[in-house]
Amino acid sequence: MSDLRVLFVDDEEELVSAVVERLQLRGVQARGATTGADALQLIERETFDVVVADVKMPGLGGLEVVRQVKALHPGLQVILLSGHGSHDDAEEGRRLGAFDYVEKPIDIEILIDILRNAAAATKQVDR
Amino acid sequence: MSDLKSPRIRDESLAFFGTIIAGQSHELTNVLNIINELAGLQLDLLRAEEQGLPVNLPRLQEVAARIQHQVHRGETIIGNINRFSHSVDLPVAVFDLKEAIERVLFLAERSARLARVELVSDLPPESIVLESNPFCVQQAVFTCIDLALRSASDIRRVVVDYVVRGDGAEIRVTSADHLTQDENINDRLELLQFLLESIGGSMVKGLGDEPSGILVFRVPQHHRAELEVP
Repeated sequence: MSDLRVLFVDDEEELVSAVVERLQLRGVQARGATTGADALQLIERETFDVVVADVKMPGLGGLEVVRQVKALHPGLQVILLSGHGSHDDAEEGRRLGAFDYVEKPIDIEILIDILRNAAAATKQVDR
Repeated sequence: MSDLKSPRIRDESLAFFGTIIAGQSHELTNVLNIINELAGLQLDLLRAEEQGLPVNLPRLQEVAARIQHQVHRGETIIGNINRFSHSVDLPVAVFDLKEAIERVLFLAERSARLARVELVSDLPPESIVLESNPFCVQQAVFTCIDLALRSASDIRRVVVDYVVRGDGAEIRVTSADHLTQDENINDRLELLQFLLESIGGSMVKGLGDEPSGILVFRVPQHHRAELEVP
């Protein structure tokens, strides 16, 4: 089991369930949430190294998740996820402090590389 | 302003068409992304054998069933896009109102979900076959739903139904909340008025009428006016 703790947030429950399981099969301590509000609650209760959040969700979207996470936990890295790449969303995400912007479909091995880089950045900030 | 030759209606119709197709392409992308992950999960489970672990057949079957479910979901989306797209083929066609409303509800579900509103179909078993412009009728229903989503700040449920009355039908969009008129939705109301005129319909109950929270419009069973659809 790796020490990488990841929260994956997307409003498509089936996607969350499949990605979380695939991450877990690779030794990642992955948790899932299907709303931005649930994700923020989980972040308050548990410790994560990285949050992956879909840009477009009902209620709190990924950009708002970045804004709130950065306000409350500046060191925690957030990776934005999008089904339809939007240059504006990517720019806005970076401006808000997102670590990276990943387009679906997800390549799980590439995602894990990005997660590890993001987690390293989180730990650097914590130090 | 009683036909679709109006540039305003033509632009709005094209915008409506674009909104629906863009929304459904997002939905279809979601389906493909899920299938991609579930297929990846199946491969991950099969690779367990390479590590000397037994293959978990029931688990693989369960993931396959989830993939099948997503394929059916994708087929439903494509079927609705296809029927919706063909609704512009003829300016006047014979069509089932219930089917047209069910299609609009399906196509509007994404907008409602993103607005965190539950869109509820409460259609009666009784249907009515209209001879009218199917695209305009669908656009009028969608515009009413859009108005309900826009005009109240805290609505959580919108119910759509209709009653067959006389030589036509009354379509009702009911919100659990008070619907208020402001300048942001005036253009939608104006559009709805134009659309109803173009299909010989009329507003029965608007935003300003009591009781609040209900929009009702009437469409005649037959409206054969020559219309030009973009």
